[in-house]
Amino acid sequence: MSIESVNITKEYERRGKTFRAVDDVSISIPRGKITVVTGNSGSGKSTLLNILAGMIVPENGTVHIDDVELPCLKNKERDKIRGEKIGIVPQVQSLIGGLTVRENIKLQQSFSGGAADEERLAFYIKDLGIEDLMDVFPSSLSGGEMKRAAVVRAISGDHDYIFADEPTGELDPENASRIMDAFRKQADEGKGILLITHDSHVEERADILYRMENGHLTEEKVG
Amino acid sequence: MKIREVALKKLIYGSIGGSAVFLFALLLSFTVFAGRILDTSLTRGLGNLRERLGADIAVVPKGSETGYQGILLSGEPVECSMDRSLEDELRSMDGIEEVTPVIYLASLNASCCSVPIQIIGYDPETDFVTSPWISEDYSLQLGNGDLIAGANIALDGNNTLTFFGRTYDVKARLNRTGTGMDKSVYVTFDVMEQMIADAREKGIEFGDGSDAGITDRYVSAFLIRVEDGADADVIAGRISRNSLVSVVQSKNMISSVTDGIGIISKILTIITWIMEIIVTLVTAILSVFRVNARRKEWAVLRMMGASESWILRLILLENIIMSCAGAVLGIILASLAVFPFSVNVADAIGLPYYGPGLPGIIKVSLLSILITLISGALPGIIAGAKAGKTDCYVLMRDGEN
Repeated sequence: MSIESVNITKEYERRGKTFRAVDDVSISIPRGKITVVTGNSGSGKSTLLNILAGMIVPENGTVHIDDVELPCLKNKERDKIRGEKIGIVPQVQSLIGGLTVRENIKLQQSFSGGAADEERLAFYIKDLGIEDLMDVFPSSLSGGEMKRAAVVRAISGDHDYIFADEPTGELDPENASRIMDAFRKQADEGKGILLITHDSHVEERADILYRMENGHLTEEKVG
Repeated sequence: MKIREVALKKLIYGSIGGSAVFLFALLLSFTVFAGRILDTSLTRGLGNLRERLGADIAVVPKGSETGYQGILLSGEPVECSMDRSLEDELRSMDGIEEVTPVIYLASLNASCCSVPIQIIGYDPETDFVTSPWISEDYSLQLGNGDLIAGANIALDGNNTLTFFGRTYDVKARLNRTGTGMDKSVYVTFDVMEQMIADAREKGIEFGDGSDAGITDRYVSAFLIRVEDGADADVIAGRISRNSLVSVVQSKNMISSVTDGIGIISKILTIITWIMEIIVTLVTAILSVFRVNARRKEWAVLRMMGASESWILRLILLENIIMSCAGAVLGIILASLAVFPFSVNVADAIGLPYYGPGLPGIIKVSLLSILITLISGALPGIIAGAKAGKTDCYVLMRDGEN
């Protein structure tokens, strides 16, 4: 079981010119592995993540989540599949303001239609050091705390896949390592992990590593 | 986590512009509630006036028409007298079914009188106007020396009223009508005879200033009921030939009051509609502003698996909660502004004013809430639909492609 994309292409208009962010890309995100896509800024990594998560529909090509072909689905069905199958940690601060960390997690679980085993979730909460932050509003959290809370939120829905865009960005080495450990444990539990990053430490922990340049993807390492 | 929990939490801890929606909802609700209560009260006052007028025509001394209308509409005290000999002439006219004399005497704003009000004397033998609704409220007939007070008359501590230095027991108090009748006291002619004599000692002249039997010779007005099928206009015209009297037709007075209330009602309706439109537009602008300010939030929610309809429902619910809270507070504030000062409002308007009972207030409250909710919900639906369409791509704007 995996997420597969075949020959996907996505173009944008930028300053009146057409810009191809993702160009004929095929990729597989298997369960039980950490897949890392690295590349320079503007290379199309985040667009690729959004296409694979069904948040953007490609102009060409197709994406399968397990046996379901995403581009053929209606928006509502894609939202449902995403909520159930993929936990996402975006690059930017993504905790919902006005809701505590605990409520953010509960909200994610209500979209997921299921929840991670409580004992396992408690383990991740402790492991990522946010047990004292569960009843705190995002506005009172530091950037690193928010990122760790967002990771726990993504894990909390018991999704089959976890996608993270620059998960270790702006984090100190210790916290970056804690997050990577959490992803490794998730992969060991059978989840498919996709990480988009600039961070060489993340690249080192990849099972499968891709490099993206000008919308093209090349495979560099298969573990 | 239920959507209503999210909406409430967002409004309490993370709202952008929610308090403005609340404030405008409050303003609309206040306007609708106060306006409808005023309108309903005037309409009910008119109904009571129409119901209790009793007579088709009033014959008053020349120049006293406005004073007579003031007694009925706002209870403004007046005093007038004319020769009672006209009574027989009126009784003999074709088309007239009943005639009864009344006497209007104004009490003084002085230590000899409890309150400066209108005292209305009626003749129990011929009366067809006052007695029916007194007996409607009380199963009693006024006897010698009895006095009945309107609903707005403040009685002395021991249920008495003093007029021109003499104290009277108040036998009963009438139900509120919202008309000038609430500010009057009612006495039979024999009591009125005594009052006129006492008033004379205080310097108030009624009739020719003679003593006993004054009510046999002088009255303030004749109230007339015309026969079925008779033309009141023709009869009024015939009476008007007497140069010493003026004629007030009830239908004309009612019509003029109805017109006055109609104008006020139209103004209130226009104000309500203007407020409705303004508040709906402002709420729409605020909602669009709030939606734009929270674009990243919608994108995150979409990313987490929220559907377009979920986001629409969230924004709609937020608007409904704020509108509902604003509406309820608006009703409470309007109640505090309208009900304690209803007597002052009635005095200022100079028209019959009879506030609605609890069922009426509940009805007006529900209407105010409904109208306020509509003006909050419609922009909520539009803004919610816009928010639901937010592309998750917004999330990448801070990052790269």
